[in-house]
Amino acid sequence: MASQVQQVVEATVGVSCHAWSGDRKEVALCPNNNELRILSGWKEKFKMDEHDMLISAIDWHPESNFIVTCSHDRNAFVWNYDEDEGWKPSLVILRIERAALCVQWSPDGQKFAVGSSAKCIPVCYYEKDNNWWVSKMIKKHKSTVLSVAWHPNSQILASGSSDFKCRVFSAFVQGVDATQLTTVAFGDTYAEFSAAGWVHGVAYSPSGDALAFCGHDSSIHFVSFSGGEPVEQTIRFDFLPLTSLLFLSETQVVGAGHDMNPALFEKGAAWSFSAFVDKKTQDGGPKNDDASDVKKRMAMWQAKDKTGQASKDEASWLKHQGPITCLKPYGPKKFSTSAPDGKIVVWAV
Amino acid sequence: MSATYQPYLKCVRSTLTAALCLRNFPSQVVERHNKPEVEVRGSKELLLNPITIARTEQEKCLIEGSVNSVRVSFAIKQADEIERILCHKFTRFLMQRSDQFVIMRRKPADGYSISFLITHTHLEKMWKAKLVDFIITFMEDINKEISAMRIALNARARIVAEEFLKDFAA
Amino acid sequence: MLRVELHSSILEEALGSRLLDGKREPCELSVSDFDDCQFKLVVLPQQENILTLHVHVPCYDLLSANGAADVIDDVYAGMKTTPETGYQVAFSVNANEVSNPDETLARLIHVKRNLVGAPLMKAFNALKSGTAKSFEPLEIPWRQTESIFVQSGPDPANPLNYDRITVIFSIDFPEESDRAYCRIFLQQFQECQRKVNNAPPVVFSEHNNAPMEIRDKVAASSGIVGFVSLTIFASHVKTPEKLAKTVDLIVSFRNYLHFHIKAAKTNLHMRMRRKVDTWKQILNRAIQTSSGPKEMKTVTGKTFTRKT
Repeated sequence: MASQVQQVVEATVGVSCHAWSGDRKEVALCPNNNELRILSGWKEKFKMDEHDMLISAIDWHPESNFIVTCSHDRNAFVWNYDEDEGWKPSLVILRIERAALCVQWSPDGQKFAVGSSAKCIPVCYYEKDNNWWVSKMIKKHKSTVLSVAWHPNSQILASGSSDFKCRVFSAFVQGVDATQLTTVAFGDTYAEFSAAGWVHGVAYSPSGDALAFCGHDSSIHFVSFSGGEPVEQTIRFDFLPLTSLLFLSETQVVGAGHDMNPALFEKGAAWSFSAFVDKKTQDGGPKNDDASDVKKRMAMWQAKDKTGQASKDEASWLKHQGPITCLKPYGPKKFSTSAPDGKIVVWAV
Repeated sequence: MSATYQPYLKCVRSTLTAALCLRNFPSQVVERHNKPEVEVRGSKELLLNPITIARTEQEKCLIEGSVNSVRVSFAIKQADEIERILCHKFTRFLMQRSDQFVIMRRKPADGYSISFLITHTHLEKMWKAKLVDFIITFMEDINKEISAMRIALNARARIVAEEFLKDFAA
Repeated sequence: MLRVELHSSILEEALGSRLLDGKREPCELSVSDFDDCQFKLVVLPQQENILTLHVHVPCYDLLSANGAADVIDDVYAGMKTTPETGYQVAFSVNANEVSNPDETLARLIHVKRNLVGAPLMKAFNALKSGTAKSFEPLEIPWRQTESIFVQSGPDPANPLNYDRITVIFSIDFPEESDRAYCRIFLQQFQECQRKVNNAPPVVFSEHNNAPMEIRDKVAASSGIVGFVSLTIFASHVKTPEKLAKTVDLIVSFRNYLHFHIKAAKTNLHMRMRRKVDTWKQILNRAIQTSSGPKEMKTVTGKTFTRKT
């Protein structure tokens, strides 16, 4: 299980979110402020500061090559790439009065959903006539929407909210989606599930037959839709709560969050916790021993004055030194995470 | 240190570790605001049930959690008038320096001697484990220090009195 | 090291340089102390050998009626002169004609001790000569909220035998923490007295529980810190040296207490400051620091990047 660690920004800066291009040669990230950076081979290519507050989420659609970003400034931008002019933004009319917290493209790339502090989900689509991204509102929430996840059919949307609920909605938009697969109208709920804490993360399995969501009560819930009525399974674990989830396959879910170590859940007869992805190794991290003697001494005295210790404590062996705030797919059996420690880690299971 | 003290510290430590699971959470009440929910108390569902960990009637710790901030308050043991005064002086001393102690709250919560306010921005800039270490060391130290100061004051007074009275006898 | 001097060092230096070292220079020097006493040394130009010391002492009239007048006539014979307004008594010496400069200096700088000690001296002399019973109780309202009570008392076992002089201080501090520290100190005086052989009995009583001797003289709830009484027996004053020492100690008691309360306070503050610094260091351990070169500013505002 090889993993690749990349310190993309200083630990004092941090990464609030990231997303990969379809070929995974480029990564878009936000260094915990209003900037959107596009890196290619870990080298900065583009830097955009169209938003005026923290960018809370980025999603990059692999086929259309569109990037969508949303921010605490209540706006979202869809970025498209032009060979001559670089990344060009187009503003999305979200019609929300509070911050936007999460965003995800529908699998077909026609729509995207934004979770917001305004207790609603604007589902946005492109209107050709007006050359404009417009939104339709899903309003059933009683508190902030913390995460959204699309069903692979792009007509069903799941959300996790700080009102302790995970909900499943119809997100069918007339004129955008070809044929309606169910009879439920846009914005109406199919199902509603409860947790004993804020629902931080929600995810659909590749087939759409299973839904997973995680609560602040250190729990993960699996819902199976394969046999008519949904069947729910709850697992409580003894480490700190997860905040984001990702299905690697129909039988593997990875979760990441406050524990700093991604956790793997697997399905046999039923779902169960399998292992932590980050494993302790013998050799430890790379040593930075190229510093000159003078520099070392200077650092020692500075440390003594500031902290009363001659050297910094040994950091924990974990690859992430802060709560994982963003979890993204990275090809088969792989995923990537970012955290306020300024690192992006690509994991293989 | 008495045998009951370690479990108390351990309990505070694990409660803090769990409470300090914070996320960036902008206000859902006021536009373009991002304020500690534990202070604003704008939405009930964003607050956790406050937890009080008490060692004795006077020595306890209140941990109030929320989605993006935690308030930790300590009541420090004050056995008599002089400990009360020392404690008051000490905490006032600290709170006047709250700009150097980024997590120090300028005013303690009602009924407590000193409060800390930790927000998600603090956790983005600090190692969580060491922050918890600091709070534990602090609560351990302040109790010890106040008792030690009281003993030192008594010892000093004794020497001063002895020195004065000796001269009568000489 | 723990003792507080009875006299003002400034005054000692100013007088000493003129009396002992022959300095002749005009001056006008005002000094005051923690007991609201004021001293003013005046040396006029053209008469640089004449040193005049003006003295202001609280309760001068009372002191004067209870022995201070005798002390002035006795100890400062031939030195008394007219004081300036605001001062109650003045002494003048001609530095050129002083026969025993060391002794004159000692007398002048200890003027406060001699004046304030006069009633005590009177009481102790009565004790020594066995006439304590006829000593009239005396209250010196030394400060606004504090008094010194001096009275004789009988042996409880033998009510006819007046064998002791009780000096009671009522003690007050305006600031709350000072009051608390004061209480600790006075309690320790009471404790320690039992351990020190031959020390006069010391009793500390809270403000609402004034000693029997003066209970009728003080208001019931005066809100002061409390009372401390020292009981002096004949053994404490039997030789002239012991008598002088005892008077010295009692006159300096209030200042001694005051000084050590302030010293203890300073010490505690230093302790707190040190502790706060170590906490700051521990908290700093938790703060992540950037590992890369930092952009810094010089005093003049230029920015630079530290490369080493």
